[in-house]
Amino acid sequence: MLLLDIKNLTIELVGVKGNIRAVDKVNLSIKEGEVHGLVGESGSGKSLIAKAIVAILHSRWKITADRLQWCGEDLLALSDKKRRQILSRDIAMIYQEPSRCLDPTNTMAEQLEESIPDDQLTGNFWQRRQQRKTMSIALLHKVGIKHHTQCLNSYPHQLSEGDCQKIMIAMAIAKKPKLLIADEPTTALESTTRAQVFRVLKKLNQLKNMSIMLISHDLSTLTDWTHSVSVLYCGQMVESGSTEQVFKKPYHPYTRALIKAVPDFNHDLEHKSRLFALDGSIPTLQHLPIGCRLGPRCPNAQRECVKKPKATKDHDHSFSCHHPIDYILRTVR
Amino acid sequence: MTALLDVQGLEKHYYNNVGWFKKTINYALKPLSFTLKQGETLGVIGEAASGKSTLAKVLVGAEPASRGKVYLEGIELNEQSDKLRCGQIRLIFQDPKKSLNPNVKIGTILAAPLKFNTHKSVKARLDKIRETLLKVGLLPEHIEYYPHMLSTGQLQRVALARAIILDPKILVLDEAIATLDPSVRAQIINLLLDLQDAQHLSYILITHHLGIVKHISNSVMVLKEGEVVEQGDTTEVFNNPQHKYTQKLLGSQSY
Repeated sequence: MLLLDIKNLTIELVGVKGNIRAVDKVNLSIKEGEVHGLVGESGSGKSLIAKAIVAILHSRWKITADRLQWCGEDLLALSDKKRRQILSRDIAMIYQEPSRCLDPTNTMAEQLEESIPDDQLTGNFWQRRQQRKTMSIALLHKVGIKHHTQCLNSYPHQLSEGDCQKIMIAMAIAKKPKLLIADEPTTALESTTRAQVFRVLKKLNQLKNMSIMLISHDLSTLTDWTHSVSVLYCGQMVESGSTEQVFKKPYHPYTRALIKAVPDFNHDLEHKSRLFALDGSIPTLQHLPIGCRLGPRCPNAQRECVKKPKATKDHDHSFSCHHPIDYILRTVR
Repeated sequence: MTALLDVQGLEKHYYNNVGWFKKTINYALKPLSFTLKQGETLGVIGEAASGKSTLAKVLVGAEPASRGKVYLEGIELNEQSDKLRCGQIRLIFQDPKKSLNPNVKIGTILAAPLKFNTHKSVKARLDKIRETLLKVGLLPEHIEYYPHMLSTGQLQRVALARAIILDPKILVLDEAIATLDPSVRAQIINLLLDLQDAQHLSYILITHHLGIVKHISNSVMVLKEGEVVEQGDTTEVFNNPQHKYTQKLLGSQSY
């Protein structure tokens, strides 16, 4: 069953001189127990989509969608209160930069205990305090922190970035959500802690059947363990499909450029050889090109590219490009 | 050929006061030595708090070394030779958005090192800025821009321009590449390699992205808690790591 089903999600920034479309008609669906990767460079609207799902965007952003369904219920049609109830029960989010998102004036124990919902506690009111404490220690062990007393008694600035990130994960999984949205959980971390964090997330997915939406700008971290991937460029969905399809046979020039820009440094790459890179840089929100937004940078852009391409679907693999690479159009019988 | 940079027994420590009379020494960098030839790249890898950034700061002279000597082309660098050090060893910081002053135009940012280190006239300075901007793939018009008008990739190019405007021999890149977006990163790496070919620059590349180190550095140094645990030719270290820590580090990342 589809857990999250989004069709034509558009996020606009309301302005005096007309609205700016930061995210342009994005489709996304997440199945139960699936790890979905959302890839894109900075400014491509990955975090905006995540924030739109959990409804924490500022009111000056206008969100419209044909469908934004969570387990069959349309989130946009619900009242704020109802929506918040559903979201707080089922979806948890890990935010970027843990040391900034944690409250600097509270100890970890207070913050972690606060995130444990009441309905998980059993027993009478005088037992609850102790129960919260044991639960928070268990949570810390689950995410791989062994020195729990020291950790719980300290403030965010006293802990390393990796420990803060793990505590954020512990806070997110405290309510046992169905979907975990992880917004760049590993950018601030170095390689050994990064491997630890991924191991924790992977274990949660396999043992608890928790779906994960993993947002990242680095393709190489996604290849090993996501089931499906969507690639974003400047707020437009460029390509999506199962991880294998997208990485083995990318049809869109941008996906191909992204994969080539992070080459496998182990094999057949000459020392100090030049890497493949697209010319130019990502356009800013004020100067978005019309049509296909990759147009000005695309190596095989042609006249049609001033119109926005429609998504072409080949089984589960969909992409939007007028001139896909190596794609033989199959005639429908 | 003599080495461009010769570092012998460089050390950095801090004192912690414990009680009134007691002191404990806290080593940020244990004695290390290395040499760097012209046109070559030294990669420095290690986990956080392994002394990588301290090494960068000590080399460029932002912090004095506790012990040890640094020779640049046979000349010893000490407190008296800050001018030489400034001109020849330049540092690029991690985040260009934070390291460039948002209140000041790109032209002014680039003019500052020229003002402090050379006796060029205003016109000569402007010519030099234009030339450098072209070299890093920007346009002379960018002189009039403010930092917020440029993208991260372009800002990193400005930071690079600020570093090379004095025609240095050594650039110290403190995590300057790994945090960029992949496609921008590829562009910047290409630019660095082009500059190395054209001007025979030497780089000291401090990063935790092992793939980049493997790709562009000639020799590599592995730091752990301020101590060099392994040092040598890049291919040798990557193909045949000797120390346990290096093996763990290389195994943790699919690079």
